[in-house]
Amino acid sequence: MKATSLHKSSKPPQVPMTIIGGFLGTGKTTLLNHVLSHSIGIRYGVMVNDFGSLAIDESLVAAHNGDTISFANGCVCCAMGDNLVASIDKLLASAHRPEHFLVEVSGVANPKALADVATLHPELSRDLIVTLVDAATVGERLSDPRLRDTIMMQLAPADLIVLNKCDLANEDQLQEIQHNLTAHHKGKLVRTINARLPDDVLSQKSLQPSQVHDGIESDTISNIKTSWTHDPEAQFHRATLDLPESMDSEVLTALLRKHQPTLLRAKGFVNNKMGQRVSIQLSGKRVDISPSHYSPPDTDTHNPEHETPAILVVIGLDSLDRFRDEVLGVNNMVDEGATRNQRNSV
Amino acid sequence: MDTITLFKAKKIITMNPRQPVADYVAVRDGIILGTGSLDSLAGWGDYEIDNQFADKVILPGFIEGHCHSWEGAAWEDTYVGFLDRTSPTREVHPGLKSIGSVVEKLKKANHTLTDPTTPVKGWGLDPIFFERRVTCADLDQISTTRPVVVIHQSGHIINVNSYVLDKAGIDGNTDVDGLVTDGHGELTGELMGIALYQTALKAIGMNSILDMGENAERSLWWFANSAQIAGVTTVTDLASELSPEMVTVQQSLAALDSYPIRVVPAFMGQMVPSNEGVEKMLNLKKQSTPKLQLGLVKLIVDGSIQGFTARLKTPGYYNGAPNGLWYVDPTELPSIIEAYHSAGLQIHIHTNGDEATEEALDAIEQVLKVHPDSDARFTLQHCQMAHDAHFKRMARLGVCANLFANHLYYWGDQHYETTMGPERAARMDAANSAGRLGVNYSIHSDAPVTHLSPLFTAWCGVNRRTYSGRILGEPECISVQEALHAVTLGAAFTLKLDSELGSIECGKRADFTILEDDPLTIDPMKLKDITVWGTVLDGRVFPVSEIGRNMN
Repeated sequence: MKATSLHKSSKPPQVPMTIIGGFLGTGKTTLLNHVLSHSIGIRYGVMVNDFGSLAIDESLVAAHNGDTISFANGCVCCAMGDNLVASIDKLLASAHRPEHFLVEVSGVANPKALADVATLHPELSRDLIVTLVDAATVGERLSDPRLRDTIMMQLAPADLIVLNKCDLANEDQLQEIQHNLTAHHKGKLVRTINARLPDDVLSQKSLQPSQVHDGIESDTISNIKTSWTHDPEAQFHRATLDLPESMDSEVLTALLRKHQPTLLRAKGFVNNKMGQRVSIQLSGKRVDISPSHYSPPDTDTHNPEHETPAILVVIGLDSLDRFRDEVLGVNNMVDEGATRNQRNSV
Repeated sequence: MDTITLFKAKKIITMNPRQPVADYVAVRDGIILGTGSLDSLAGWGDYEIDNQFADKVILPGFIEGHCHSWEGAAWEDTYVGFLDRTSPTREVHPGLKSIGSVVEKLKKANHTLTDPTTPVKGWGLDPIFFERRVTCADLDQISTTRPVVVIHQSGHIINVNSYVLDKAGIDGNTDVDGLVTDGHGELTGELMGIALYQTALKAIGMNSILDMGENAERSLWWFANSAQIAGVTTVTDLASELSPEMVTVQQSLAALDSYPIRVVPAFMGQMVPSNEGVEKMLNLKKQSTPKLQLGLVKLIVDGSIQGFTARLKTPGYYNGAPNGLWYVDPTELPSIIEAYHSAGLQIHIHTNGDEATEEALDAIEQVLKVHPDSDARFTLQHCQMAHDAHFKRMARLGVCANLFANHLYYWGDQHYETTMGPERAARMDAANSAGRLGVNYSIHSDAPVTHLSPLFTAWCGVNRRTYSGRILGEPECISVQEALHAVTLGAAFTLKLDSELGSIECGKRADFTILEDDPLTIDPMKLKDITVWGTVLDGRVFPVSEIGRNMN
C-alpha cells in the first residue's frame, strides 16, 4: 500500500494509468481514438505496445497537449525492449506531464503485467484494466486451443470487458458469447459497436460530481437486463449520492469494497476519522484515499476544504440500488457490516 | 599480388567432400586457394610455408549460429553459475555448487567495490540445481547498505537483497504478480515479470540489465574473446535492437584487423511495426561488410521449456504446468513473416515448444504460397521439440533447424523428470532425425544461456549426456563428423554464408579453427576437452594465448 499523507499535499496527484488489452483486431486502437476525440480537458499520455494496422491518431493526442509513444515489445524478454518505466518517467518529467496514461498493450500480452507497473510506481495509480473482445471472432477463437488460454488470461484481470463489434453478431450469438465470457466476470461486460464507450468510463477525471445533488440523481435506465442494448450509454448505471454526515472514509471504503462487483468507478469527498476532508476513489477493485486538494507549490489558491460537499458519484454495469440503500440507509447496520467487510478485505 | 602462405598441419579437416582431409592449405590475401599436398598446391605460384600448425589440426572456423553479444557484457558482473565457465580473459570460474558458495563469491565482489552506491551484480544463478531458492537473507549477508542483484541463468528472473526491495518500495503488501514469497508469506527477493524487474532496476539507477552503456566497446571485445577462446570465427547476435549507436560501435570494431570475429546480428523483427523494420533492415543490409553481416531478422514465437513458457501441443507439460506464452500473436505471425520475406530479408524464428514450431511452419507455408522462394532458408531456432512430422515438413519447405544441443546436458535431467517426461525428452533436439529427413541443421549454445563452445555443443550432439550422465534418446546421437559439419558448414548454410564460409576449399575465406587434437580420432567423450590453440580469420592468425593484447 502506498503511503498517502492526508494533509494538503505539495506533491502532484498520482496519475491514473488505464490498461487496454485484447487480441489484434478487437478494437483497442479504435477505443483509444474514440476516447481521445471525445474527452475534453484531459491531457493524456498514450503508450502503444501493439503494432496493428490501425494507427493512433496522434493529432488527437496532440490536441490535448499530450504525448504518444510507442514502446517496443518488452514482453518478449524482461531484459530486451524499451524500458517502459523509463518511458513513463520521461513523460512524467516532460512539460506536458500527462494527467492520465492510456496504455494499449500487445495482442498477446497479459494486461495485468503492465498494470503492475502502475501499482509499483509512486507517481502512478493503477486504473482500470479494460479487455476487448471481438464479437465476430471470439467464439471461434475461444474454441481454438492455440488461443483460448491467452484470451482467458486477458479476461481474468479485467475490470471491464468490452464486447465490441456487436453489430457483427446476432442476439443469440451475443448471448452465448456473453454466457461464456461472464461465467467468472459477473457485472463487468459492456456491449459496444466501434468501441464507443461513454466518456466517463475510461477516465476518473471526467467522473465529476453532478451539479445537481439533492438526494439522488440518477440516469439509470430501468429493466436494462431484460432487453440488451448496444447503446453503451444505456448499459451503465450512474448515481450521485449526498453522503450522510455520519459517513466517514473508513465506512465508505468498506462499502465500496463490499459492492465492488457491481461498481466500476466511484469518486467522492468525505471526512476521515480525524474530520479531514479526503477524496475517495474506486477504480475496478481498488479504493484510493488521497488529500482532497492538491496545492501547486507556488500558489495558495484552493477552495477551503469545507466547501467540498460530501458526495459520491458512482458508475456501474448493474443496478446501484442496493449500494445506494446501504450508503444512505440504516447507519448502525452499515457500520457493522462495513467493519466486518473491511476486516475481511485486509 | 600478395604472398601465398601454405599452412602445414598435422591434419586439415576440410568439410569439402572431394578432399575431406589434407596436409596443406594455401592462402592468399585472406582467401583459400586450395587444400592438398605440396605438389598439388605449388602451381599457384611462389609460396612461403608456415609451420606453426604443423602439429595441430585445422578445421573450418567454427560458426556459432545462435548466441548473444550479452556473452561479453555478462562478464562485467560476477559469474555465480552452477557449471564451470571460462571468462573472456581466460580465467576459469569453477561452478558454485551451493547457495553458500554463491554468497561467498559475491561477498568477495563486494569487498572490491569502493563506491558505496555501486551495486553488487551476479549472473548465471540457476536455483534448479539447489535444494531451495535463494532469499533476501542470503543476499543480505553480502550487503545491507548497497544493492545486490543476481540475474538468473534464464535472464528472466532476478534475486535482490532487502536494500533493493526497500528502495523500490516493494513489501509484503504490494499487490503485483511475480513477487515470490516463502512458506511464511515473506518476500524472498525473487522477482519475475517486466513490472518488478524494471522497478527494481530503476530503484538502483539501472536502465536495463542488457544495457551495455559506456562499456559497449569492452563488452563487444569480450564477446569476441569468448568466441576466440572457443575457436569460433563467426558469431551471430540473435537478436539485437540494432540501435544506430550500437551499429556504429560494431562497425568500428569490424573495421579493425585485430578484431577476431565476423558478426551476424539479427534484428528483433517484432519490436517495431513491420514496415519500419523492413525499411531499417534494407538500409542496414546495404552497409553489410564481410565482418559485419547485416540483414538477418529474428522473430520470437514462444518462451522457454525450462521456464514453462514454451507453447506445447497436447498433452502439454509433464508436470501438468499450464501451457506457455505466445510472444507474438500466432494469427499475426504470417503477416509479419510476409513483410520481411517479401522484402528479401532472411528470417530466423525462435520456437521451443512443438505448438510454436507448427505455428511457425504453418505461417511460413502460407507466406511461401504467395511469395515462392525455394532458397529463403527460414531457420527455426532451438526447435527443441520438433519430431519427424515437423522435420519432414521443414525439408519440403526448405526450412533449416538450429537445435539447442547444449540443453541436453544443462537441463536434460529436468526435461526427463519434470518438463517433458522420458519419451519426449528422448526426442529433444533431434539432430539425427533432422539430418535423416533432409533438414539442414546446426547446433548451438545460445550463450550466455549456456557456455560458448562448439566443441562442447558437438559433444552434446554426439553423446546426448545429461548432467547426471543419463543418455537422452540414443537414436538421436550424431557422428562426430556430422556434429562438426553442424557447427561449420551447417551453420553457414543457415546464415546464407556457405558460399564463402563453412569449409576449407578454393575461393572461401581463410577462417580456421586450430585444435591441439584430432576430433575425428579422439574418444568422442573427450571431444569437449580438446584444447583450442586459436583461430585464423581472413588468413590472419589469432592465438588464444595472446588474448587481450589487442584490446583497447
